[in-house]
Amino acid sequence: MRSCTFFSNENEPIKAASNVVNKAKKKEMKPDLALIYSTKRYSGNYQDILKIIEKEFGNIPQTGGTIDGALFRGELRTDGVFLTLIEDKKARFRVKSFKYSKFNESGKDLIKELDIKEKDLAVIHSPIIYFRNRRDLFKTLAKAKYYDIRPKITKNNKDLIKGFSDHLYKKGNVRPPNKVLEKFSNQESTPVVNINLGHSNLGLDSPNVFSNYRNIKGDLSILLIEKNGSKPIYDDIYPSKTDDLKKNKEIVKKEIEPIKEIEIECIQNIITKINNQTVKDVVNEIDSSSKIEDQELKEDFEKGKVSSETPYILFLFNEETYGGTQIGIKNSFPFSLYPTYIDLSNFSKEAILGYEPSRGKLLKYISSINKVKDKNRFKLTSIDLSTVATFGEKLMKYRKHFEEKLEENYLAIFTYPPAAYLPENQQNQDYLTEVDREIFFSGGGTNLTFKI
Amino acid sequence: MSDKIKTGVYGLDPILGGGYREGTVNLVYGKTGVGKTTFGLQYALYGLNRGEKVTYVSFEMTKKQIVKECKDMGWDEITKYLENNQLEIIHEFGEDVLFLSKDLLKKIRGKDKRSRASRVIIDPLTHLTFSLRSKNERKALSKFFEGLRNISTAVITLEERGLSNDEDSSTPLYLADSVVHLENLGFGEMYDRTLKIIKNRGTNHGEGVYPIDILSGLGLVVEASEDQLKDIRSHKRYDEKFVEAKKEVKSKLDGEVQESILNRLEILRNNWTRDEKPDKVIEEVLRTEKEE
Amino acid sequence: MKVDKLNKELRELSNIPGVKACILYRLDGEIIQVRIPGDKNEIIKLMKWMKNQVKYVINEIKKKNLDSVDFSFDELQVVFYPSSQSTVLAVVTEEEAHRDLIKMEAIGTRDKVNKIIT
Repeated sequence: MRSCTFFSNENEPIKAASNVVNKAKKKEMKPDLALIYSTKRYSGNYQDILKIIEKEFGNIPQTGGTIDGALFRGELRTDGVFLTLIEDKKARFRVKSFKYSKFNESGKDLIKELDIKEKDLAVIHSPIIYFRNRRDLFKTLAKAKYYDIRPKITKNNKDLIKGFSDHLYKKGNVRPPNKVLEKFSNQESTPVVNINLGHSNLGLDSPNVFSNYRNIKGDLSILLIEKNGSKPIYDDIYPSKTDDLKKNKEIVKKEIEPIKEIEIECIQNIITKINNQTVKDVVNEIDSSSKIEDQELKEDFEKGKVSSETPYILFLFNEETYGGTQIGIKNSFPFSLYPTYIDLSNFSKEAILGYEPSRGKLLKYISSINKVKDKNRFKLTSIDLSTVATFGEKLMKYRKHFEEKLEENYLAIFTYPPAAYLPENQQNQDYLTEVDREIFFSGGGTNLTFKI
Repeated sequence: MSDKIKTGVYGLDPILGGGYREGTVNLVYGKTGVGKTTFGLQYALYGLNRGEKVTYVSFEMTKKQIVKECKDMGWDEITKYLENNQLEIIHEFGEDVLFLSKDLLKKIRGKDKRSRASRVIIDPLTHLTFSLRSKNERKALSKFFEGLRNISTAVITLEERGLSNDEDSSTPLYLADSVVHLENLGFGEMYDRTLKIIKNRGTNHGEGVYPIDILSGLGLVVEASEDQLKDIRSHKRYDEKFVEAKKEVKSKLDGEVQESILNRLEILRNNWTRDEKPDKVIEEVLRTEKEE
Repeated sequence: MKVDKLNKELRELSNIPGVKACILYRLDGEIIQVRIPGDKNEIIKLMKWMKNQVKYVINEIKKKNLDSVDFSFDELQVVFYPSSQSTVLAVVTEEEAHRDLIKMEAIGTRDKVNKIIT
């Protein structure tokens, strides 16, 4: 097995693509899989880049998308294009593209359609939040606004709230990982990794997914890896959970610097109330500095300036697994219906409001690499991009850490926290962030390394 | 570049616009131990190795010391040049030179015009510039420089005397045709030993700070990046702009003004080093020259 | 050559959207390398101020063992990173740039500059 990552941040996208291709050619590899990632600087020109790389490597499958940065060979880069070539004759790689609408409507027959084999590992690249264009955004915001401006009709109207949530799911504006991964949950042999693409600033038509050298924008790319021993190593920043919900709550309270225990009302992925108040009012009580109006939100979204950072979190518990997830909240969504990126249908009303539990946890955000035992396989790690704002310069320690732990044949990408479907026989511990049966995710602090 | 006098310092000529102009006085200044003497010796040896006559005036080191300095560097050939009189070393005590322009210049000129040196090195001139307080003393220095220009292309080294801005210590810098500043900060890092071209009359030169090394066998070696060299090299990418400009000059101006501007544009064309187009500059020239 | 490597590192940093200038200063204020990708006029005035700050900044960095010194102006931010005993890397970014991400790149460049220079 051989792998190498090539990087360029030339100003012109074509130059950048040619640059990585030229560097790759010098290595004289016979690759079997290409991973292509790009930061947002080449927005509008991704297809040009893919075309140039395809000319040289178009005979092998490719997956990837846009990210905020990547770590490779001891370097951390947050601007440019990354081409990773993997040469592994013991593995078989297939990449399939799926229109989001088709994926969303598919049921468990998806597995059949993908022709997943027993030894496979599946890796999905998909945005977790995606607005294709202005129209898409305005339509969604209008639905949220409607609820607020017609309270006589809309207040507490569950059908309306569910309708808003269904709209978000149907359009793919929000793709809760537990909804995405439940499509794979009727089989016990193949783990599925969900790389949630996203950026620290939200914007229109962003992130984009690359699949077999096509920029498929907000659709999905699924990579199937058939090789003995390919597996995902998932981890989160929390201690292991217990079988007792109360005990798990106490564990969480120790971790997140709680502000208070609360009760939520929600339908699917929409939080309507926290202790009978809207989310924005609850956050305003703590801190009203980032409050904005809906017009400003629209304008900021169009400019790609809506920050995905959230100073406060809710930790919610699944009534079946006793595990849970953190969801970031802020008061810069100006409507009462607060959409989240988790479907909370199976979740308890009781939750905890607190602060991001990041203090002293720099290395916990990449803990999955500590559990990689085989250094001769290629490893891709997905790191929570909130670490950039949270830890700042300290993040540079990751460079040395990756080199020490993984030595070579690795690439780590900064994007939204990853999720995983792990059949029971593939779980290493009782992760607290089990958001649904055998599905693991949290709005912050999960990291995942899969090895080929 | 072919009519320039090569300095013999590796890497310096490209950033000096090809070398020194013939018949100029060129200053190298810096603090003790920074490489001024090595510079002077490299300049001398480059000429000597090509059959030129060189006069080396030393106000500090004796002939013996200079020879040892060269041999330590691996420049053994100096002995040969002394023996065959291609190299003349004049050792004087600075205090003994009373009249710059007469005494010293006379010695450097020598008796026979035909065997006059084409390269002259004076190392260092410091003693003679200690007290240039009077107008006459400064005039003497000016005359000395003028005299040197008539004889050869000279390199003069000068000890840097701190941050003084007073007139007497900076007079040689004003008078020289080019000034190179050598520095050594002493941290042992890449940019501790550096060379900077403070001035270089009549020629494009590099404006940066260049790291230097002193390497056995080679002496001073100056490093300039490809990008820095590109900034100094002229190119003909925008030739058509100059052609158009000249056409416009011919149609809108006449007589001596036309001739003068055409000449200036031609010089500018031959010396255009910038990446950006010359449009704005040409536009300003034409606008100014066309005004009544 | 080392100067070419240095040049490459500063060029890559200056390529990043939002970066207005990268300047490598020697501790006496002398500019070793400079890259201004856009409008130079915007930066020239600032550069004079920056040159005067270098010695002060280096002193503060040494005294207080700082990783960087930041200055914010109306539309620009200037961050000085000590890149070696005798040099400091200054990065000028526009207000709207993603500073956290650029900071990662700047630190990476600083470390590479340090390797080249020392």
